[in-house]
Amino acid sequence: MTFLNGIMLFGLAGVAIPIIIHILNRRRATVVEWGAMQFLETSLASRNRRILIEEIILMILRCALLAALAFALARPFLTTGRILLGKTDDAQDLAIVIDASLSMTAGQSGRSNFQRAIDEAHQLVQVCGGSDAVSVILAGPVAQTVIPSPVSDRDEVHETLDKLSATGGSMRVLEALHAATLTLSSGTNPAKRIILITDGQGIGWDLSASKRWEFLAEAVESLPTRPIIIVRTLATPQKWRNASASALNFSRTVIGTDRSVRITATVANTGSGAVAPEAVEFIIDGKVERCSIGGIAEGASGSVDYDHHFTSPGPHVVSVRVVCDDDLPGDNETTRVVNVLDTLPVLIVEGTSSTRSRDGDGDFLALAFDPDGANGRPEQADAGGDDGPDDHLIDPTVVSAADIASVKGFGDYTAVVLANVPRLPAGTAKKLTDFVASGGGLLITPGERAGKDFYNNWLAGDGNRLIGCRLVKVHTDQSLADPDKGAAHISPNSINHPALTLLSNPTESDLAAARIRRHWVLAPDDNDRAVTVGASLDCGDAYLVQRRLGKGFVLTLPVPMNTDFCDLPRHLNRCFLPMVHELVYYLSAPAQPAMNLLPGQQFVYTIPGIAANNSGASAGTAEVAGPDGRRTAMRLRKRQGRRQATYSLTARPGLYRLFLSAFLKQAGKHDKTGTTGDKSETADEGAKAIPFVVMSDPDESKLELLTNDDYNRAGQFVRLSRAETIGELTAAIRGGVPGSEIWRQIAIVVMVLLIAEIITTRAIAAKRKMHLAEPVAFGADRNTAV
Amino acid sequence: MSLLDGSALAKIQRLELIARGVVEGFISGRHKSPYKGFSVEFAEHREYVPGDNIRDLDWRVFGRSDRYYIKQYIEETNLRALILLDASGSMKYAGKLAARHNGDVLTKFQYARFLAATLAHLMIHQQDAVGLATFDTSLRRYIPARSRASHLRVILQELSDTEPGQETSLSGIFHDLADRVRRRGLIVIISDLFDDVGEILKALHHFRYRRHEVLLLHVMAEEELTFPFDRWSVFENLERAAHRVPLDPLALRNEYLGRVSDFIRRMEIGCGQMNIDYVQLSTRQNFDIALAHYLAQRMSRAR
Repeated sequence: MTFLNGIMLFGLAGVAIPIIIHILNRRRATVVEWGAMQFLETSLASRNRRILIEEIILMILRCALLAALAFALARPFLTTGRILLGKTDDAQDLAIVIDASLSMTAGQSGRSNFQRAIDEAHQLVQVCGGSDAVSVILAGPVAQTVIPSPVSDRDEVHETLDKLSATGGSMRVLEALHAATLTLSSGTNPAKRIILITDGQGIGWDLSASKRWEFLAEAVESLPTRPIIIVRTLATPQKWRNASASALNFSRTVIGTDRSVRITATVANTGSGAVAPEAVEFIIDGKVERCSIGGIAEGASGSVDYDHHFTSPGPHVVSVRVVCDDDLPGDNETTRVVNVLDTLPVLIVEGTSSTRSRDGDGDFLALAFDPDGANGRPEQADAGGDDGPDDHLIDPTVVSAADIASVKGFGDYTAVVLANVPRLPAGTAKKLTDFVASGGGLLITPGERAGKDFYNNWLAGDGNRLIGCRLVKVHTDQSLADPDKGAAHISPNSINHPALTLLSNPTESDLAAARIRRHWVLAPDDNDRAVTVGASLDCGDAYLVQRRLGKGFVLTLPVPMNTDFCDLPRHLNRCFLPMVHELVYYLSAPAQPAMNLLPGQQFVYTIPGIAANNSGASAGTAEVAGPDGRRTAMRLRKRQGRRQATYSLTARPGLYRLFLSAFLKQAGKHDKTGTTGDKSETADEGAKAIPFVVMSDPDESKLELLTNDDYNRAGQFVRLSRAETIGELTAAIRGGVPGSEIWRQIAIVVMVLLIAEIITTRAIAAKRKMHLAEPVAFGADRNTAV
Repeated sequence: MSLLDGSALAKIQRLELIARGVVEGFISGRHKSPYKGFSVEFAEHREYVPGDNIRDLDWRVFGRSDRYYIKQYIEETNLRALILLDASGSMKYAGKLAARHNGDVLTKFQYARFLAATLAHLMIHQQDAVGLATFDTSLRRYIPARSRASHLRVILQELSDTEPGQETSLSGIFHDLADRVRRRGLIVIISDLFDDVGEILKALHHFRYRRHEVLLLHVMAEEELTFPFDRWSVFENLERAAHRVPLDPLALRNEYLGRVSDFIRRMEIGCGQMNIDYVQLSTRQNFDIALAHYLAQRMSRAR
């Protein structure tokens, strides 16, 4: 037996009320000094037993009445013993979960599976009983509870179902079933059922995650009655043709206006049989570039590269579209947003400065980042390569370690380089640690003067070493006398760090030719999971050690970025320049706003250039337009002196736009000349919108259906049954309620007890008041004297 | 007399006044000799002189001798009355419904004390001899009957000094006194009679056997007759210390009143059979009115 309203069982404590009243009455008894005790005692002797029996009967009746009342209010539910109680027609709560994934947009006979799912949901609602209540969950990458609490209003359910549309992406089954369980828990009917209408695609079921399924099973068990999950699998085409734009990659994580970037589109054939797309279109800020691609065999994929030079900073929308007539057009296009930068501020802290060119510890780095010397060292302007880009993204600032105190904070930089810095003041070290944790990058290039005790004892907030390794000693090659022989080299085969991937190809890089005559022996902290070795020397020592801390990274090299230990700067264009650039890009990437999100991930955008106190106390409002065109108002927040927009309703994959025009008007930043009418205002607004993308899972394009073994495996955790047809489904939800509520029977018992109590009380009271009819005749009452 | 201090005299004075008021009111209203009421024995004839009441003329003697003679009765001192006053613990009960005297509710004992004082005053002033016996478990005080006017003061002093005490044992005391008082007279019993009714009747029969006239004044409080309690109560025995009975009065009222009725009915029957004057007095009534009512009734019966 279970209780649907178990909290009312506390009412059983009310059984004590009659007993307490009885005891209190006795305790509060008034004292009467009495003379005629002989009559009392003789009366008591004959009546005592009867009085006791009367009181016990009354008390039992009242206690039983209260207990039965509390019991009835707790709504006991019998899961057994139905034979004794007979068949009942108890109402049920239904949670209808509709698969809204991308694959549901495929279908047959001109109707998608999603439309069929909606139709079947309508039919389900039709066959529900009058007291049945229904909740609806739209199951995409994020489960959306469309009707969060079961309702009995069929019109409301029908209306809600008609408004639903497929979200795209992949259905997360566990999240959807959790959401369904949650809605059922707020329902009041004893019987519970979850109906999942899906195309049976395996992705998103996470059957290997047994812990998560056990967690779901616990949630399901916590309901008053254990619900059954009925999976209605819609038919999918046996053969289908599909080419999908499965990936869109960029050659760098940080993209600037300084140089072009390579965009690679991957087209996968996830259908049956070969496909030959007409073309692949790259759409960059609305401008379409058409490329050709050959035929792709079944299960294979092909890629198309496209180089593009972004000339303006800010977010740009890049899409790739596969022009192909297939059965699942929803995955033919994929979109990303790239945040193009025009400057990347980097701080170089050098151990020693020199007025002579290239003698300072940071001179080679500054030269590599800014060959034109725009950063204030004009004498270095003649150095550098002859074929580098005209414009330079990285904007280096060089300070001496001795002057580090002059740096107020590191928040203005995306990365900091410690070039042969012996040590730092404790306060500065702490600030740098916080800088990394908040997403900044730190590159450490120790040289002769680096204080190993300082670095080895520089701890992060988690208690581990900040740089992720220990500086052991400076290793000097034995053949130092002959610099052409015996020096150590960076092993290209050992490179597994994404920032150095460009240099791993010997045909494009002469990294392997660089000679490392001396280097710090780095001993990585193997116990720290955040530490990885990204490249090694051919002598076996680590060349690049990465330590992740919070949102940012710390990269440590064993050599300084000058010619003291190695000749890396001599291999300028094919090694040194790309290496330091890529390392800085890599370190700067976490500080960039995330414009390509996973479903459900929060979008956070800090509005540049507008301080929080510019427009009074209110932080302002903005709007977000989703992939379906619906606009949602959102409130801006003040954070660290800036305005920040955060948006969490990212359940639906696709392109979103954040409109700041209303806010900018408030802030006085809006260009009023552009707002001459609705149409131009909209165009202006669109131009000022900040785009961001919620990505979908490319595996959704592979229609891999669940097998019987998969269903059986899920059935190990939850009660699961399958309905192959709508007939089976409607039959499954009618009848067969696993148990029965017995509050009605208990309510009858309560009524009987109540009547019995009233009758007993009246009978006893009537008996006790009989003396009123026969008063004692005495004295003046009878004119006395016999 | 050391007993005649200020408060004692005040109490006696108050009692005398109350007693006189009752008696005078009674006599003046009736125009009868006060001696007649309690003088029961014929003495001799005496020749009529003017001023005598012609109702007292003996017409039989006139018929035989043609002379006017008047009947003479035995002197009032020939009647010896003994007042038995119950001073047991149960007589301490007052209740809220009892009559008030000077603003205070009268206990049954105070009520009985006023009755005894009134009767004593009445009979002393009729030249009757009056004695007093107070008792509870045993005989506490016995004052033999005297007819001197000063004897009233002794009786009143004793009444004033007596306070109710322990348990009641009526029958034993009555048997003892029946044996002790040899000369026949009037026995006035003032009590709540809380004892075994059979034993009481036997003891009363003993008085009657000794040819005493018995006047039984049964005093009960109104609460003892109506049992008006409706909340859980603890009844503490006034006669026995630490004897407490907790009970729900509502549950027991019917039974209790039945037993009280039965008790009173048996007393009525028993007294009727023995020709005993059984007077029921509830403390709710003013004692003087109740007593005057009784005496008037008694006189009309005697006539």
